[in-house]
Amino acid sequence: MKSIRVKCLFWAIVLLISMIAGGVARAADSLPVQMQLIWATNEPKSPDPKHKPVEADVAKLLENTPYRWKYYYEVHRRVEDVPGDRSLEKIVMSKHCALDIKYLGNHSGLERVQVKLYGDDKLVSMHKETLPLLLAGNAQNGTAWFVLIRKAPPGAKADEAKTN
Amino acid sequence: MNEEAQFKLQAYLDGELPAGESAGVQEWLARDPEARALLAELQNTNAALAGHEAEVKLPETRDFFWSKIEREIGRQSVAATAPSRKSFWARWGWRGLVPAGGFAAVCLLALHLANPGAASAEFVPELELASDDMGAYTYRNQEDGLTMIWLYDRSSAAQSAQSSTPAILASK
Repeated sequence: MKSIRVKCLFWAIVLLISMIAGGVARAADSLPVQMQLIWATNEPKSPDPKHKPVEADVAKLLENTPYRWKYYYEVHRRVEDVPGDRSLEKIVMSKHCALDIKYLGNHSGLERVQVKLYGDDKLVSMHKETLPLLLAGNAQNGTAWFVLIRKAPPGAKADEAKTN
Repeated sequence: MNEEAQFKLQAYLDGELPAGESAGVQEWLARDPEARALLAELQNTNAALAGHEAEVKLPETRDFFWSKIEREIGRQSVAATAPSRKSFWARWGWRGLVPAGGFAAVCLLALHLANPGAASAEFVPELELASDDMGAYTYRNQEDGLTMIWLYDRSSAAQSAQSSTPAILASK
């Protein structure tokens, strides 16, 4: 009888540890995400000296889309650890642009997110998509804006540039 | 006469008793006719068997024969006292299978809870626009795995390709 009690206690502890581990794993389920606000133009120089040309891999990614401009400038960059149990709200990309983002988990090797896009504090759209995700639209004078959301590369950091 | 007394009488007849006990038996026989009768019967039986008992010849010497018996007794007693060395599966195979299966099930459950989307059905992208005046084109670049969503104002798009709705970079 004593042996049965000891065994039951042992397996109860194993079960408890497994459930706690599962809960911790779920709670810790988050994804480092890099978000870049990009301005696309055919002008060779940005009027804002703080703007810097996007990195080569980002330029290549943008050039492979149907909408092409000659130059792409990074306006602002954010790197956030996006949780899976709640939305990371109001990530300000510029004075006119903000995002809510939530990590929906890995699906067949692809990271899924839910993104809410705000323009001038008004909800523009909601997306559930896999990463990388590029939201885009027209801007003034034949230019365009892009918000590139992708899994943060190792060592990625947010820039210190002042937001527009 | 009890069984012990009968055995003692048989031992006396076979000459197996020590001298002291043998003298005691002789005194007992002198005063007990029943004992004498049993002794006579045993002697008759011995005499009857003496001529008909088959002679067994050992293939080895007597000493060697007994040493073999001694070694066998020793081997069996060691085997009886030594702890049994069962194989891993004999000890844990079936007994451990049920709890191991249960543990595996708990681990799978924990993994499922940790990553609920992994085992779900096919992921379907969603797009909701805040206004009916808005439109969206979706473009997927399979090579880069990139999904591009181009948002536009339906009315402005009809009028001008240079409109800026939504106002994401209004200062530009």
